[in-house]
Amino acid sequence: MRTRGLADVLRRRGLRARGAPARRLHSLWSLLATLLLNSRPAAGQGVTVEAADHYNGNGPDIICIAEADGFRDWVQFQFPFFFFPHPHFVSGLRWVENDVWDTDLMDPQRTGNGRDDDTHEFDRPSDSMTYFCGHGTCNDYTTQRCTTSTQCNRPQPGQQLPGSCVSAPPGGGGFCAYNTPRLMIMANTPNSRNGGIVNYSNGSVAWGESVTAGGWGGAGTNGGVNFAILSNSCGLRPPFFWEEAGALLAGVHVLGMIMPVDINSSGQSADDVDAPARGAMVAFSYLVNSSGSVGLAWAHSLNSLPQNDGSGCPIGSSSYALGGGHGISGCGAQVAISVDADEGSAEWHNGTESWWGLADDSLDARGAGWLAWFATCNYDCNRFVWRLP
Amino acid sequence: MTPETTWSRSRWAGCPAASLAVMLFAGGCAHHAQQPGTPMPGEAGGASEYRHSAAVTRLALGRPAVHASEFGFTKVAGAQGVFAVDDVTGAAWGVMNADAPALKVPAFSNVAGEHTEIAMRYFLEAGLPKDQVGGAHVTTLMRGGGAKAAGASGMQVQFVGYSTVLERVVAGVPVADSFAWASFNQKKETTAEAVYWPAITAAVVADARELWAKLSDPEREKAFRASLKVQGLGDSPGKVVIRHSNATDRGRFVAFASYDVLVTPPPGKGRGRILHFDSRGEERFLAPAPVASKRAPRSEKD
Repeated sequence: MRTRGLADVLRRRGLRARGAPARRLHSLWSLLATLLLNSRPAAGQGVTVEAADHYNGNGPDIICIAEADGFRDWVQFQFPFFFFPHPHFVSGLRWVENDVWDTDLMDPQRTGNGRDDDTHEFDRPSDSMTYFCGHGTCNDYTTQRCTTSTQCNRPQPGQQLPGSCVSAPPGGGGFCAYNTPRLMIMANTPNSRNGGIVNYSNGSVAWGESVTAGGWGGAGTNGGVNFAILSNSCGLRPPFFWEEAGALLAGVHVLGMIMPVDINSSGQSADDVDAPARGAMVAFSYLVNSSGSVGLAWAHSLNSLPQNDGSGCPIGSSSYALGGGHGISGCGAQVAISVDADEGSAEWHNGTESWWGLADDSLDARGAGWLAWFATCNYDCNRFVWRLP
Repeated sequence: MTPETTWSRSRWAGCPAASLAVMLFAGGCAHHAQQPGTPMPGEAGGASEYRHSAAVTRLALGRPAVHASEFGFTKVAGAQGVFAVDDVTGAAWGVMNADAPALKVPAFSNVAGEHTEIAMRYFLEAGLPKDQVGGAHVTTLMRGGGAKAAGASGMQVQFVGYSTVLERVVAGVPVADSFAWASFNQKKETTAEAVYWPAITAAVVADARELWAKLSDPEREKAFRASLKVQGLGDSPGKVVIRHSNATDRGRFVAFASYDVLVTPPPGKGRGRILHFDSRGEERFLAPAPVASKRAPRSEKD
């Protein structure tokens, strides 16, 4: 296991210590930047969003722009003075509707296609945070009944092994889901290269690769995002954290996703639903306490969303007696994922890194040895495990 | 006219001292003058507001605590976290520091019912109106991880703790956007909490009660659905609730009786959407109307 040097550890501790000299200087800089450079994005402090409400045939209308804007507008809250020191975030890009292009999200070093340009759009060196809200697709599950994951060995076209016996309340067995490439979907416009569809499981997307992260992700060193949020349909199914989402992380510290869990015999799957307040709820954690955990801010934000937003758990249920809702139909979770070279570093990003770390590329992940996650389920996923062994 | 509650609240309304940028907490804002942790009397027939406060919170703040006002919040910051009350909406938030020792303390219980019991008692003793609590449910914080080489089969899963969310009901009608939730550790401290429980006017409550009674009749519900101008509802389930501005909305407060319909596209065809219709059948929106991209249309790149 690779471990970090003492200097790294001390630096991280310094960032976490209230009133540490580095932090006071940062606060002073934030103040000056706010007063003097208000309209200019400082390096590594931008907040970029891409979201669409209309899809030109690539999906039904939804409410996504408000969700992403809510995050962007509050996390870059402009106020000339503040009492406590805070990291400072500024406007990045804001692309909505047909201005969201699939090429914005893909990495040219990974794809080898020069039209792909996350370097200047969704993963800019000058950005700290990004928020994508759009459609996805739920083609990763079946109606194959199971009582153990070893029974899940018949993937359907487009799916691949391994399989997982996904279970939910009230228990008593589950249905098979398979490792399946996950998609971000936006409107298909003349500027799209791939019909407005981006596969983020196959390596086309890589966020957060920077000079300090190094080129371990095979995506160059021209990224910068340290906290990315991906709000889409069936973004990830347990336990395929590595298989379906791992390739996304090439230096980014924390990735927030929606993770539907259950499936029923009618062919329905749990899924993300419109939650216009979701982004703002995450941003409010920053406004309240910028020394709070970024990963927990994302995970906990589910609690403040209406249970009424989304159907009951299990999917197809007409009541919330066993959970559900809070921005998800059926049983599901908001999950924060971090990848780094070793377990300790991945866990640090995932649970202990505060908003202070997001404007500091020197904290970037240095490899993909370990994946750590936090998840808040909209039901009792302690009592009802989401995967039968 | 459809009964609804609206009033203007500018970003700094009620808190002129905040516009002076920094102030030590001195009770200068209008909202601060209200009694902490007690229900605010509402109008007859309406639902009273409850404001959670630093005086009653069990958030593991640590000592010493510093009082300040910033970002439109009145904050109490301790060595381990911050408790903040929104000067405009009255919503309360408790967020621990990422490295707070209290976060390392084991969960209060791994039995959901036990956690719900302590959380319910906590909020009711703090002053949250018991007659507005229709129930409670848990959400669950889990954590895990695994080495890349092991993939899905090596992914560990571990229980961290429960949060209990109280469900607000007024005159038998759920109030969807109100919340009071908390997460307790073994020391009976909260490690995260949030409360938004605004007043609902008598007119909105009466409208909700009437809509509820009307649509409890399947025939009348069918007729109501047929009158809606929005197409494509199909057999999507609907229910009567009270909707109001969310806790992060510092603009004009809106509350209305709503027939909410969850429209789910066919399997695999995208995410669902919740539509809101008031008692007249007019579609209502809680999210602000989106604005276009802020730059000129993009041109093809190289």
